[in-house]
This record gives sequence, C-alpha cells and structure tokens, in this order.
Amino acid sequence: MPVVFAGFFLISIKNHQRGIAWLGFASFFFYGYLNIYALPIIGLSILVNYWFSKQLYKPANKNRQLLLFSIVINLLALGYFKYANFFIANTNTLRSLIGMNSIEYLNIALPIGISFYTFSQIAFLIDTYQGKVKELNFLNYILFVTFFPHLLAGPILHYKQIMPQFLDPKNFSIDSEKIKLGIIIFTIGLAKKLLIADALGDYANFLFDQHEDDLTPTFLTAWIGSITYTFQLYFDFSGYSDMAVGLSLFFGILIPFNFNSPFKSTSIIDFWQKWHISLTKYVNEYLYTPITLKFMRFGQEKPQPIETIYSLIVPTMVVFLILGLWHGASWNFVIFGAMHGLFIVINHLWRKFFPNFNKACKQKQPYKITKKVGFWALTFISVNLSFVMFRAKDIATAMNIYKGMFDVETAFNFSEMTINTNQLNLQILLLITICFILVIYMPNTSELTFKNQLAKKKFSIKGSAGAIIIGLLFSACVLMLKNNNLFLYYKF
Amino acid sequence: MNFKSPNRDMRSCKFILLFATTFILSLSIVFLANFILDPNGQYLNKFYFYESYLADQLIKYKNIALSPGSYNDRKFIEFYTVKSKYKPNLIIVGSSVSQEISSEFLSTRLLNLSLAGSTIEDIIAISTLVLNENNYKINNIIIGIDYKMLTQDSEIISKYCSLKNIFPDVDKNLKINLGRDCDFQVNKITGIFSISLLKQSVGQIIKYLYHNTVGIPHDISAERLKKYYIINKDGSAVFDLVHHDNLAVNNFDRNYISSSHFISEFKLEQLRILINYLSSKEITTTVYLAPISPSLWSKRSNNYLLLNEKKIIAKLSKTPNTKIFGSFNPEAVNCSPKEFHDTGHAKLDCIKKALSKNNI
Repeated sequence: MPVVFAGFFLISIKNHQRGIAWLGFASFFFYGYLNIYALPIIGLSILVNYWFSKQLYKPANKNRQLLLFSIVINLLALGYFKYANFFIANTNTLRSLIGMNSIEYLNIALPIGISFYTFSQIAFLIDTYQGKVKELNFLNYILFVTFFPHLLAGPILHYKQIMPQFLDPKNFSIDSEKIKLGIIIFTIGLAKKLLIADALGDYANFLFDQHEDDLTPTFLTAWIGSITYTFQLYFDFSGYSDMAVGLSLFFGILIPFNFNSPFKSTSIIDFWQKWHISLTKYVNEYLYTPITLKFMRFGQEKPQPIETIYSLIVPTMVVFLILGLWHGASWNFVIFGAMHGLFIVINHLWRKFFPNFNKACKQKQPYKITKKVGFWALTFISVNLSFVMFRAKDIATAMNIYKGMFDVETAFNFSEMTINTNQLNLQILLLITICFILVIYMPNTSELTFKNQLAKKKFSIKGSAGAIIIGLLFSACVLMLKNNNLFLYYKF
Repeated sequence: MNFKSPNRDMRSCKFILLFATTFILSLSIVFLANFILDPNGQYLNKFYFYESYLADQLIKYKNIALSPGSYNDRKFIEFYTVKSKYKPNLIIVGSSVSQEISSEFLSTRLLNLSLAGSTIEDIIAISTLVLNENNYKINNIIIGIDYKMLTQDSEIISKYCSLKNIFPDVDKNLKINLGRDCDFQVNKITGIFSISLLKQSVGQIIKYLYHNTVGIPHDISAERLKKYYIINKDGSAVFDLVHHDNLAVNNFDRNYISSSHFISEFKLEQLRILINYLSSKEITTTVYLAPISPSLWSKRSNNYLLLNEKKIIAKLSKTPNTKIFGSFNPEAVNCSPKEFHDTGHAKLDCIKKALSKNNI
C-alpha cells in the first residue's frame, strides 16, 4: 500500500495518465495476488466491454441491439461462472425424477468480485448508450473497473461517480485533509470488521453450523444466533465499504458510502434505501424502473387490484428475485429475495391503503412512538428473519432455525440456551447490546466524518483526542489481524 | 465538501502525525511487553513462567487447586515432568477420561499426565518428553482414549502448539492434518504483535505479583469452594468430582455434535507408531478405551463408535507389547448411568470395570 501510494503521487507529478496507469496496474496486481487464475477473466471482460463501449460511444452508432447484445454477453459470462453448477444441480434433480443419469458438475471457481465488476460495466454500457459518458479513455476505464478499494465487494460504481474525479488535476497531488479523513474512515471500517464482525462470527457460526441436522435450537439460541449474524453481516460489509471509501481517499478519490444506518429504518422500503445503497440504486435505475414501466402498460385502464398487481407486485417480486439470485447460486438466496419482495409489497400496500397513518405519525405522540418502536422492531425482525435464509447452508437448516425461533415453549429455558457456548451468556449479550446501541443511537461513518464535522455536532472525530483515539483503534485492529479475516461479501 | 484551506492542512498534518505516533507507540508497547515477558518462551525465555511456579507448588504441597484456563496445562506438565523427583513405574497419558486414575486405584507408583482435551499429538509429545527425561524408568504406560480423540476433527490447536519445543513435528502434522499453523507460536515475527500473546503477557505480570493466591482459586466464593472443592490439610484444594455441575452434563453432550465422528486413519497410524516406539524401549502399553454414558450412547447414532472401536482394536492388536482394555460402549463394560460424572466421564467404579475388559 505505501508503495502504491508513493508511486501514484510521484508518477502523477509529471503525467497524470501514468499515475492512472500505475493505479490500474496496482489494482490488477492486488487482484492477481488474491487469485491469479481470475486475472485473465477480468482482463477479457474489460477488453470486451471497452470495445462495446467504444462502439456505443460513437454518436452515429446508437444501436439498441448492440447494447442488448453486450448486456447479454456480460450476463452469460456471469451466469456461466456463478450459476452453471446451480443450473446443473437443478437439472439433475429433475432428471433423477424421470430416471435419467446426472450431468457432471463443471469445475469452475467463482472469480472474486465478478458480480460487482460485471454490474459496474453493464451500467457503464448503458450510460454510454444514453450519452452520459463524456469521455472514453482506456486507462481511465481500466481504473474505473479495477480500482482496488471497491473491486472485490463494491460499492457498484457509476461512471459519473468516479470518472470525473480521474480527470480532475486536483486529485493528483497529496491532500492531507483527504488523507486524514481516509485514515479515520478506514480505521472505523477496520474496527467494524475486526473488532465487531469477527467477534460476532463465532456465535453466528455456532447457530448455523451446529443446527444443520435435526437438532432444533431453542428459542433464545435461535434469536440470539440470528441477531448475531445480522449484525455480523452489517458490520462486516459496511466495514469493508468504509475501508473502500477510506482507501480511495488516500488517492484523492471519493467513492460513495454504501450504508446509511440501515438499522435505524422504520420500514423495509427505508431499509433498502440505506442498505447496500449502490446495489439498490443500481437495481432501481436499471431494473426496477424499466420493468415497472413495462408491466404498468398491462395494468392500464384495469380495475385497481389488477393495476396494483401489474404496477407493484409483479415488478417488485421479479426485481427482488433477481436481487436474491445476484447474491449467489442457491435457492436460499432466491427465497431471501422473495421474502424482501413480499415485505416491500406489503410496505407499499400499507402506505397506499393507510396514508393517514403516516400523517398521524408526524403529528400525534402515541403514533410517533408506535412508528419509532413498533415499526422499527417490525422492520428489524423482518430483516433478521430474512438473513436466516441468507446465511443458512440450505433451506432445511433455515427451516430448522425458524422452528427454534418460533418455539415459544423453550423461551424461558435458559439452561439450554447456554449449550456449547462457554462464553455465550454475558459476553454475547453484551456484544449484541453494544451493537444495538451502535446501530440505533450512534452516528454512522459518513456522519462521523463528513456531516457532523461540518455541523460541529457532538459526535465527530477531530483534534488531538480524535487522532489518539483513532491511533489506538487502529493499533487494536492491527493487533487483532489474523490470516483468516475474510470478508463475507467476497463470495458474492 | 471543500478539502483545501491552509489552516485545515496544518490541522490535518498534526492529526496524521499524532495518529502515526499513537500507532507506533502502541505497537512498541505490545512488542516490548511480549518480548520481555515472553509467556510462551519464544523470545527471551527467561523472565517468569507461571506454570513453572505451579509445578514447584505441586511438588512442594502434593496437591494444589488450579483454576481452569488460568494456566497452560501442557506447559505445566512439561515443567512438572522435568522438575519432579518422583519415580513412577507407570505413567498415564490421555484425555480427561483417564485423569481420575490414581496410585491408590491401581496400587502402584504412577504419574498421571492425562490432559483434558488431549489430542494424539499431545500424547506423543508427553510420552516423548517422559522418555527423554533420564530420571524416569518406565515399564508401563496407559493411554486413555476417549471416543472423539482419534476422530477427524479432534483438535486443541493452541494447547497442543505449546509443546512445539518438545515435539518438532507439531507444525508439519498440523499442516498435513488440519491445514493450519500453530497460531502465533509458529510465526515469531507477527506473533510478537499478537494481542492474545499480550493478554498472556499481562497475565504473567498479574500472576507474578499475586501468585501467592494460588493454592485455592481466588475467583470463587467461599460457599462454592466448600461445596465443590476438597480442602487439603495444607490449605490447598482440589475439585471434587462428586459435585459435578449438572449444567456441564448438557454442555458436554452438545459439545461434540459438530465433530466428524469417523476415525482418522492418520491419527490412528500415529498412535500405532508411538506404541511401536514404546515397545522398542521395552515398555508395555495399555490402551484404555473410555466408555461414554448410556444416555449419550443411546442419543448418538452409535454405529460409527462401534466401527471406530473395531478399527482401533484391529490396528493396534498387531503391535507388540500392547493390551487393549475397555470400550466406548457402556453396556459392553457393564457401566450403569450412575457410574458417570457426566456424559463423557466415567467414575472410578466404571473405569475399574472397563480396565478389566480385555479386548485382545
């Protein structure tokens, strides 16, 4: 990292394009270091997509068929690497039903970050087709795709979010303010990952790995375990995203935050606007809106229930099923997507049929409390339930855990709750309590570093005390580093 | 956001400098603490070993109470074995299932070096350690095998690694068997910054300052001490197994659910090599297969246990100077539910029965 940093600014003194090339090379190097075999795949993907972009960039060549073809090529590549064996598994299930022999599985390793860089490039193709791309430069394009802070697990970037920054000369000289912010944000992300997510991981693994067979967890074990995983996923993924923002700032580039306190949400719609924001925006722009517009045509001039089906239920479910499948090749993810689709539909219908409730919430105290506590709890529980499906190895394990979560008879069986987890008890309850306080009452990373600092709010990191706190936090993280601190979202 | 302004730059530089100083200072403190206190004897290896102190205490008082988790039991055994002037005829190695076997029980001078959670590598390391000490003239050895010790994912890595100095193949075996290293003990360079090593280092200081409280665990109430410990005449105390906490029975049962139950050919082969080696030194080996409680036997699918047992007997029966006693199956050794402390630990009456069931 220090070599990349020093190299970038030294090389950029004379020639900015060489600086870009250096960063692109470093990004390739990091990616190849993780998996050398995946390097040609990303390389080919970049070359092909750049060629398509060049064709679509030409004003005289706004060929919709070409755009569709390029998207199909990308989806086929993604489908091959990510979903081929899933497809074979399901085909084999069907074949076995009619007594046919199984097809052999393909020996494919999933290239790290393929979902992220494929989606980023599809967005770029669409932006190019729509004329939003102002300048096409191969080196800039390589860096746009491979820029190492976001390559492995996002955020999914749009052209307009990053490309103009590569062209801004100010970003090629060292800016101590950006570095300071980068240090703070990176350290917060690292702490989220190493001090919180990894500490929660053992407990979450206990629930999900030990209840794969017919052993149903007790009510408390199931709830504590599932909440633990929900927080693990959040702190792991948002930790990675913060680190990506922090690292980017070292190079003068500001990439968007991917989370905005999602667990403060009081509705599932609100949740998705704050959770994995880049994916939500992407899906909204490139999937949900076009699909809704398509389906709305079918519902036009039909009775209201039919119109609702076409304009809301069908597009939402379709989009969330795709969103679920995007996370991985498993029926668990499909069901996860379906659950969220259903939650979103219910949320929209509630807003549609009870519009006065929201108004009342703003004006009357009892309603305000209901919304704050009741709706928050409902949202959190819904998300938590869906993450059980997301994490479980298979549907049977998830169902087994759900069984425990709804087995109220064991709710007060405290001795059973302590099974196998010598440190469970107070330590995990304390950790969960800390997590709740952090996600509900504390400002998020963006607020701590940008918004609060500007507004001079109580919780902001500045001055000598701030530097020492961040220094100590960073030291604690470095001391906690192990070889196996992998991020959960790498596999998506 | 506007990043640029001369004042802000000054403040930012000061912030970065202070951050870097704090970071370097923190790491230096950890480095020095770990290097000087060196709880695992990797660096200076001179300062203080709590386990050495405990070994001295045990030799002096014959009976001391030890708080579980407050010391490294492998290290403790290493010191005790080296320092002790005791001349046993028989040594016992194995897991907690053989910890209860005493000199009174077998009417012979024995040294029981069984360790809770022992792995086959522990057994090899401890046996080798004893054989390499000149003051021991051993003719017999009992190896206590519990039903999970030789299974595929039985591992107590961190404890096992503490014996790396005595058993040089530790790293290699771990790599082959589990694809893992001996945590910080392997990597001296990154290990020096390990927080877990720091915890141990701080623990060393506390133990050094307050070691006079050893003898009776200082972290238990008087009522609990009276109920669960046997107080010796010299003021020391030992854990009284009669009052085993009921909760532990549940815990034990669930603890091993995730284990891969099938025997590891690699581990079994290691045991065979050890017994052959012992035989070459004219030492007779008794392999004791420890029974599990009838409740656990009935709960678990016990076919694999029978299969594992057959494999052990088949493999080891061919080795010279070897006897195999006992069975994982409590019915095979006529042990009743009352003859167990918990689901995995037989009481002396049951151990007696098991040690009278000769398999070969």
